[in-house]
Amino acid sequence: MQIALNILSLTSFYMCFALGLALVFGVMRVINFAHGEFYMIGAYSAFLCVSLIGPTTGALPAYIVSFAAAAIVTGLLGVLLYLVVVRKLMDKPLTIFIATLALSYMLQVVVVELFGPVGRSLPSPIPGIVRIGDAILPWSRVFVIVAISTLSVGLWFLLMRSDVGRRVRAVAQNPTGAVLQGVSVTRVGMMTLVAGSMIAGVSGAIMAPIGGITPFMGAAALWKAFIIIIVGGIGSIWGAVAAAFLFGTIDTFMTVAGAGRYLALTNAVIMLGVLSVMPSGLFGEKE
Amino acid sequence: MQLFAKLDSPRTVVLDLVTVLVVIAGVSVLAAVGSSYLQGALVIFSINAILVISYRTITTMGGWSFAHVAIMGVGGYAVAVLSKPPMDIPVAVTFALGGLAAGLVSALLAYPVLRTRQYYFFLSTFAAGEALRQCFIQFRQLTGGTSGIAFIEYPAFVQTGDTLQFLALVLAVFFLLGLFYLMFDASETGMKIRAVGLDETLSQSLGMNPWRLRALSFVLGSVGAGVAGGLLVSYNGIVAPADFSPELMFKIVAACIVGGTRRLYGPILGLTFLTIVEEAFRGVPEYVPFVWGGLVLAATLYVPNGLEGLVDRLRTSLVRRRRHA
Repeated sequence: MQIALNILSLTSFYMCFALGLALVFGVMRVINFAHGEFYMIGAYSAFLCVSLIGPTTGALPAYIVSFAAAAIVTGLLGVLLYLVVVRKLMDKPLTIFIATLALSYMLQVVVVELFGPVGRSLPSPIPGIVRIGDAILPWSRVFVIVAISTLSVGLWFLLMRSDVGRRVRAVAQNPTGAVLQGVSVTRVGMMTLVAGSMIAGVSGAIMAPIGGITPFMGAAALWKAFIIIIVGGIGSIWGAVAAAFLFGTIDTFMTVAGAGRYLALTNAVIMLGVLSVMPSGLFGEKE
Repeated sequence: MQLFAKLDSPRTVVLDLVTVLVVIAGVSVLAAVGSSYLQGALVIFSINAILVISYRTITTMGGWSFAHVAIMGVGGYAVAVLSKPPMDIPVAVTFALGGLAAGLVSALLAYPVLRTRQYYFFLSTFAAGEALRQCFIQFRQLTGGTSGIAFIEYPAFVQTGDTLQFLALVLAVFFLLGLFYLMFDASETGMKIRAVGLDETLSQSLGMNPWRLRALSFVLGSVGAGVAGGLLVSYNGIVAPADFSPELMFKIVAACIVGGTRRLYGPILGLTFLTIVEEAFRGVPEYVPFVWGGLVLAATLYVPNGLEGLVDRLRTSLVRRRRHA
């Protein structure tokens, strides 16, 4: 039971990180290397928000408000990224990758200068633990699981059941066809990038009380997210969800077995193995 | 496969050769007149120069690897482990073995990684490189964990502590590898690799084997990285995972973006530029990534082919003006 809960908790953590990345890639064929920094900035926005309005409103309301703050800040960053970089370099995937890589270093330096290189911590607004059978789980982690699940289901409904979602999927499948049907590819592209950035920011805010906040938290988690979306198949959001669950399970079992130090190696070997057999990932579309 | 049979147009080969010689001459002159700090910086610059020219060889096949620095680390760790007891192999020999080890690891990586293109290629090499770096940290018995392995010596023929002699060694290696890479680039195989980089399907239908050509340039480029890693480790006297950081990888990629990769002088020009910037901000090292990032961003947005592109544009405008006159 404890193991199952840990798997759930780890999976939701991996998912929140990979989801926005997979969305942006799936629709725009753009890899945003600064995604990790958006996540980090989301966490810092939450931290700022809670420490500014927390004393007057109490920790929990401030924490809820901080989600909105994180979404607004990273959403604006997404708009900027689209207008300055992505729109101009649309047909050059490598160049966008490099440009966002450069941006991620710049954002790191900015945050280090503003907040210092030492990490901050955000005390959990929902203290205490919950017992399920003989397993224990802190309420803060339950909150993460619920929040991420809500986010994912919301995204699913938006994509599959709404008019906007239909347009987004049309662009992802065939940009030319979408244009012919009167869908503005540029508007959809911008929307997706902003949405992906906001997901990154909100995920950062959700994870902030658990993981601690440092200027390098995004970069540290990014390569894991890459492995997840590669194994899942970069075009596929549901592949990313499946791969997040796969690695959540594997990593939990390995940690329980006391082999935590071989995690990185195992993950990489799994990724290389999957690539050898299926170059476009488990659920990826053919190139 | 013919390696060095037929050469590219002699002019470009000469240009590349001149690039190599200018670097060696420039570094030597600066080292002769400079302070000991400058000499140390020049050693690092020359090692990085080996890295960028070996990296350029990989980029000619059309894929930008993000595992280059981690593979360099393989060479570095090979030198550290093999030159110390119980192995006690002479350091000079371990440089070659380090290059070999890097080539071997890259050959193992080549099969899965080279099946991917474009986005997948950056991501999978990035993840593979990061996993390699995690291995340096985690396999403590072999690599010494985060603190690494200390007391690695200079090769026997270089006097311990003599920076100038070590610099001469690095420049000699740079010369040999530079010569090798430019010959390779100008050879028929090199031309084929560039063809594959431009259009894989077309070159395949012309009877080339893209997979083999791409693997060859990936492995040959990695060998140079391994040798550079060995030199770095021997110069520092210590090897640690932090030496092979993503920041260094960014510097190499940035050098190629800012400089351009079509000829050998591009990455060298880019590296020189970035190194000068780095030294100018020596007092505030925390701003260096910001400035580099800004430069790269500006280069990607406004100078598509890097400094090389600027040079070309300048030349065409000069030619045009001469024609009008």
